[in-house]
Amino acid sequence: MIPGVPLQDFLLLSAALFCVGLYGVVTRRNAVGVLMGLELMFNAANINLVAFNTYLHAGALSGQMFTLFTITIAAAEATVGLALVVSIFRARRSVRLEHVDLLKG
Amino acid sequence: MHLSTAVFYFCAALSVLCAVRVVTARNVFHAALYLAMTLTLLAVIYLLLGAEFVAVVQVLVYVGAVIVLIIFAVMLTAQIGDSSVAQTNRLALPAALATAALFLVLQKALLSAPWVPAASTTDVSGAPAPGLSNLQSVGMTLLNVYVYPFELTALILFTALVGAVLIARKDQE
Repeated sequence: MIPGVPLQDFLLLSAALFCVGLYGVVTRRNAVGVLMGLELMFNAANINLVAFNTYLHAGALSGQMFTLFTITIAAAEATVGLALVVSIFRARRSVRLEHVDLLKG
Repeated sequence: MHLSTAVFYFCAALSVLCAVRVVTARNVFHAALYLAMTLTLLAVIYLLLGAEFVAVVQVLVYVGAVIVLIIFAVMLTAQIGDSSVAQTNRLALPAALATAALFLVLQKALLSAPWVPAASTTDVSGAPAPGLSNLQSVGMTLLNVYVYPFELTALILFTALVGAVLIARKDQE
């Protein structure tokens, strides 16, 4: 626990990062940029988990465990996502998301 | 003011600034570097919170592996420094307004909610023995309480590895 810092400040930091990440996911044209926004959102959730662990449930490690699993899943997600980006680039010669519209009706 | 308090607010402000640059930088390569900066600052915050192992994993996995992967993808696909085309679509203004509104709602909700610490932490099954370091207790908990999710994670990583190789490889013919 950090002296002088209430739990709410961690949650505010997390909310800010989440909203910035969401903005990036919605507005980026580049598929890699969208993935970066996703990583920001994952990290916002992780801050919440660790802060809750320290402030509300000190003595147990549930929050830190969840964070470790989230980091693992995020790494797996980034691997598959970037492989998809490379594959799409090979097929369409572009990573601009508006050029990936084969399934658009 | 306590030193760690100052460090926290400094890291928090700087990480939000870098995160804004991640989503607004015109050059994708610069955005990746800003993302690395954000993630490193978050590792400092984990350290302040007493989660040393999580901080180390954050630096190793995110800054060490995921950022390198992202930079590889940028170099394989985009023309680096090609900032002639707009990087945001025409949703930029509505999205900015909507996310700002979402932040205000979240802020109102989490500032008014009563955050009550758990009454007792002794009823947690397999809670680590007191007096161990963070690394020791994380290891004990991971291989006692969370051993099945831990093993399942290995399966997920293996599947992701095989899937990524399969998706990204060139066609044989």
